[in-house]
Amino acid sequence: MGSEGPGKGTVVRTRIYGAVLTAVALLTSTACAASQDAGSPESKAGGGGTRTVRPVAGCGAGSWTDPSDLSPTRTPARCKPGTPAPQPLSKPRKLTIATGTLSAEYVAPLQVALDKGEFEKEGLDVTLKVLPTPDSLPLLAKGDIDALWAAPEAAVMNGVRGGFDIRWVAANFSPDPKSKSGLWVRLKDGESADQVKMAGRRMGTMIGKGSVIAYPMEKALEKHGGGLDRIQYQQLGSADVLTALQNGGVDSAWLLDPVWRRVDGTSGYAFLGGQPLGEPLGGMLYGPGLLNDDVDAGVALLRAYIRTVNTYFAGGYKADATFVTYLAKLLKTDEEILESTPSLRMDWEIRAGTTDRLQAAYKAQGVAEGEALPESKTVDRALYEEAVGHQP
Amino acid sequence: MGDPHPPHPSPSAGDPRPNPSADDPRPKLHATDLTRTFGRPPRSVDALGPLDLTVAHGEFVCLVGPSGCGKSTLLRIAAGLLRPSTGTLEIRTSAPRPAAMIFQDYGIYDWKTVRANVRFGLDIQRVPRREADARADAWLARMGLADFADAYPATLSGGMRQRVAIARALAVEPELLLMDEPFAALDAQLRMILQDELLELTQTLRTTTLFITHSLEEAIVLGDRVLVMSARPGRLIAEHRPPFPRPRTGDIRSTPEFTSLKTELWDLLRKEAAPA
Amino acid sequence: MTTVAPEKISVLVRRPGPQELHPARTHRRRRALELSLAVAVPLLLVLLWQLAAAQAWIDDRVYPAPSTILADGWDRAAAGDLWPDVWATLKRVLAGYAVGTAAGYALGLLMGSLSLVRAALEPLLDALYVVPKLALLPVFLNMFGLGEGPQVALVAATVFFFVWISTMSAVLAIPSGHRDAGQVFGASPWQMFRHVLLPASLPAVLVGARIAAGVAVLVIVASEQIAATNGLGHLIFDSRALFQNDVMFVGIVCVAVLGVLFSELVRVFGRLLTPWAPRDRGRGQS
Repeated sequence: MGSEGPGKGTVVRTRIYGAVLTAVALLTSTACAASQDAGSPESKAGGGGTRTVRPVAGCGAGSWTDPSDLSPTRTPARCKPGTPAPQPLSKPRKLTIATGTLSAEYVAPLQVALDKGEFEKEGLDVTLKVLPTPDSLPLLAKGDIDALWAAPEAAVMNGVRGGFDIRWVAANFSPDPKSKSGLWVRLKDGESADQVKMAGRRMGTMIGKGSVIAYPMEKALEKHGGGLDRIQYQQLGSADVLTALQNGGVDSAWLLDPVWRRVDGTSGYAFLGGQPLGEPLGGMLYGPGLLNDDVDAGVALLRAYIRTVNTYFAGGYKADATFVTYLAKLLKTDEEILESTPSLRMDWEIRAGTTDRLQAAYKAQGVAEGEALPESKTVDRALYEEAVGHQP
Repeated sequence: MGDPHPPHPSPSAGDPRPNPSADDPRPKLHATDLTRTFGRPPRSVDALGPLDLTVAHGEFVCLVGPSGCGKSTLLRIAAGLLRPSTGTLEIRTSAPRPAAMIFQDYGIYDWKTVRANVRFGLDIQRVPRREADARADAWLARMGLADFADAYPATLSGGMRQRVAIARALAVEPELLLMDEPFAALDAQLRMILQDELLELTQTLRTTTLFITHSLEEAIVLGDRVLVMSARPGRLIAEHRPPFPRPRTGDIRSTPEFTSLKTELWDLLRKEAAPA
Repeated sequence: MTTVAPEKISVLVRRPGPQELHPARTHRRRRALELSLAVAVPLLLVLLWQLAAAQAWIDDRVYPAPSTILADGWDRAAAGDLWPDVWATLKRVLAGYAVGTAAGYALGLLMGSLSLVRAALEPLLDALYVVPKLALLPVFLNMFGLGEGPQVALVAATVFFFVWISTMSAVLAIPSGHRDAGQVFGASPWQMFRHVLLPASLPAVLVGARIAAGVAVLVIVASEQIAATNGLGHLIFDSRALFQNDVMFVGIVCVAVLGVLFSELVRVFGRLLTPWAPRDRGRGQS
């Protein structure tokens, strides 16, 4: 036999086998032995604990209300117009806020703030981006965008539960008592507005599952013998919802501003309730950047927003025709549409227990899994409190 | 039929004659003034003719000629796959489909077993399965393919596949056998073996055959008559009868007459085959 | 006088190698190696993923570890939550695939064999081929309303084009020699179809059918996002909207498994139909 016998090939092959086996063994052991971090959402955003809060001129006793006050007739917190005064950051910075649409009325405060330069006064260069929540929420969670002007919907709760740092830091509005945006039904024989059997009905809505509307929906349904698990839920495009209600495709619908106007006053249709008065259900969501890394900018952003509300949206802002024209142009909508519905009650404060009630509705809808999150993990009032100078 | 046998000398005396009409002096195949053109003017190609051809019953006629001279075209007209452009080709027969053809490539079907391939013509004629299988198996045995009856052609060598093609053609007992360079794709040794096999087979069956080949050797070994065609458009330029009585064997290849006929034919062919 | 250094002559030996000396053993080992690679490589990648998640090289809140996905999927399956979605998707895929394949095969055969039919229909079908079928979903919604109709129609439309094109080109590609043999023997159009056209075109058709199987699963996932209230596609996009990444990945893994199984099923079925065709996987031949 020569120097190169058949043994050489076998040796090489054995070496390859050995290397592969070792690699597999290493990987398996490391992967299994590595500590699985439970992913508990560490509430690093402790806001008020480490920051000094100073009183703010123009914001007195009326600038903060007790969150546990759930009275439907509560007056929203207000300061004098032009307050809280700007406190420009030592280093100006850019911020991106994502929102679902730029033409809905509840985005008006942000648009006006941007247009009137309120953010610039704080040293903030703000960009408003239009993104649907399923796309913007992961970006917020990772820190790619700074804030969301949306709502603490089921997806947000799931994100917090999954270990992401997201908090609801300011509210947007509660409805005017005169508004009839909400649950509308076609009255069947023998039914009147007080006596409607909701169980077994088909409800059409453009709102997806997991929206905050689940909570007022559940409330309105339960009052009438229904419940999110007792009705048939049909998601339709916004144009189709009213059509379906009118031609019998569905026998109940959640109608938004200003669509409800079209059936208001028509016989055969009844309004069963909408968003609860005095309890805002959406607003500003912050991610890890503005909660932990740059709280100054987080407070500054809210300060500009609050100032805008106090200056331009303090009361019935639709009484001023010039302002309505200005709004219509800013939101790229028609003046008639704006004038057809009452002014929103802008309200930057978050009520106590809102997120608990929201999560209960999500559970009833079947879109949330696991234990409900306590308010400490979903809400942070410290930033807006600091902006109006309220000592905790 | 009742016709008295006409007293004319048969080409090979003492042969078994299973076919009673074999003594019919009228030709089995008769082509008159046959031409075929492909394409439309001004780019038309005159492929064949004008050509006259007569093939008698039981005769084995070989056609040799340079590439592109229209030999295959002539065969395809005889098979019914093409129509002539002018002239006629008559086949005296009692069956609607008297011909069976053996091709150079793509002859037999990869998706049928060897037995099913050989049975194909009979299946088309709606012969009952039992009988068709029996006839097919007989032919398989005759061609030495009995062991491969259930195999697929893809597993066979080229020589075996051509044997299957021959078995398939002969299983329907055709009145006219058309063979288009059937051994061209095989190597020289296999070629000679199959030539000898075919020789033995056709001498027994006495089927009227039209055989196309490039090989002069093959034509002289197999044919009662060898016809030489010119370059395109093909016309008959010569006719020779190999001076070997039937029954023959492959041994004739070593005779001097074989060599001299081959030389004579090659001289003819070379002029036609050389590029102008 | 120049001196040339004497060249070093050595002897080159051609000798038998392991394959020649121990053919059976070499073949066995080779097969074992191929088999173990086929299993080990995917396993290694999954373990790598698991390691990356455990070591925080990737954010496991966004890309859950395989163990999480498996655990979640197992819980769902055990609770009976997974099967209804799987079955809903499977029903739609199978129904659409059946319709699309039957129609595509029939039309492909027709157009491949009859040139007049091909001349009549080919421009139209060629134009429709490039229209993204998902873009037709709103049209199907109008035609069939809500429910299973638009989903099945979408899958059927997608599958149809794949099968139609591979069938038609397979029939057209049949060498004329095959047809000549049948013609000389006097085959009727039906006999020609049964003995020649159908079996000759079958292997290529089955390749198209296998591709269509994978595409059918792809399409149903996209269409369920838009127009369904159950099914794996709906599960994936619903859980995405609800920011439940682990559920989303369970859905994705299920769809992947479904796609692979379906495609393999078609392949095995094809092999049964075409026992003469060469295998397209080297493993069966070595």
